[in-house]
Amino acid sequence: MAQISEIEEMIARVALGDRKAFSQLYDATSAKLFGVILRVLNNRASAEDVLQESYMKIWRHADRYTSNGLSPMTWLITIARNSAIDRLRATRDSTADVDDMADRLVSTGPTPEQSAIAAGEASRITACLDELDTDKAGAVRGAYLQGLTYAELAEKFSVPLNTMRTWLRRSLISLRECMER
Amino acid sequence: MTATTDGPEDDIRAAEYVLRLLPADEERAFEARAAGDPTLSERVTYWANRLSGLNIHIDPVKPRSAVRRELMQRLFGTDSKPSFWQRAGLWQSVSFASLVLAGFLGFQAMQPSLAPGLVSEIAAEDDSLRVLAVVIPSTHVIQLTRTAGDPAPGRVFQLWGIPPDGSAPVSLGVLPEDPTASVQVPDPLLAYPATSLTLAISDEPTGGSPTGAPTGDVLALGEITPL
Repeated sequence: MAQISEIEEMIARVALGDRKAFSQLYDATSAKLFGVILRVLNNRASAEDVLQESYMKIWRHADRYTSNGLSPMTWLITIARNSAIDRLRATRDSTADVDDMADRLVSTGPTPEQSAIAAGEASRITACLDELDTDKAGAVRGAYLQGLTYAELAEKFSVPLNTMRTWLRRSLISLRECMER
Repeated sequence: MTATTDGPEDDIRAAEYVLRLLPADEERAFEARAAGDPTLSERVTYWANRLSGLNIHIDPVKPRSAVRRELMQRLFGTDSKPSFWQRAGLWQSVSFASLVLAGFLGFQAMQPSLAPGLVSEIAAEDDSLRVLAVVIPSTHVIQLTRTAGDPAPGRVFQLWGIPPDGSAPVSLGVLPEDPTASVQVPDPLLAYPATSLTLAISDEPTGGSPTGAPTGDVLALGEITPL
């Protein structure tokens, strides 16, 4: 895996339309993004298609990266993960719009200093999750890694929907307290 | 943390948004609110960065090489040579007839005595910024006419030449307030055929990029083509 600064450099070049940099970025990051997508979709053919779709968005929107405050891998993973979740939900409910969440999420919030702290602090979430009850940590992981909704999480953990909602929200408050300690 | 009374509630909402726990209609409503609320969008960034730590547990899975080939095909067509840069979706939006006409008229107004050379329309995807460039090969001068777009207050437009081989962009200077300007092509770019270069305009602080490389958003791009 390339260094964060190298990935940032590649994205900057892609923003200027550099195809060679785009190939390098794909080679450096596609295995990770494919892993992220497969975790959500669990179907190789769909995952391959969503991987391509993700990199097409990356090519088109690389110029928005510099001002969005996300670390480079977070930005790439956010696009892949949101594209995978959009696909999952569109397949499950064909009446739902395929929402271009990634595009909009990453175009908000210009806070450059955030990307600097992100890399060091990101791994802290694992330690903070370990402080939660196993089930509650599992629910947060299920939402983030598999794109599960409140209803699906409630079913998976055999609790009523409102209980799951309360669990999750309390878990998020605990996580925030832990991460800001 | 937020200063408003909605702070803690909004913060958890931002986390739910990042986790994709909100129903589609609430997602959209949240996005509309976050777009106009820097504090809220800052919380989205906060959660996205922190939660992304969970990805360290996901093992990379190498996709089949056919996936890469198909992707390049979908983006760049059959020609896989990375020798010529092109922003997908940008060039197609420019009417070639209007480009040639505008180029010729702009050129005539500025340099009636010289033969036409090469043109480039450096345009934003949404046409919020358009600069027409006429390149005069014999003198290595580029005549510029800005037909749409003004820099943000306290910011300037800076013009760059991007070599085809992946070398760093070379500054052609900061554009003046006046919509017309002419710049000399710097030596490092003369090593490349003019039509292999891409011209780009970035948003920079007053006085131009402090680093010698684009620091702000790239607002517009254009290829150079024969007139």
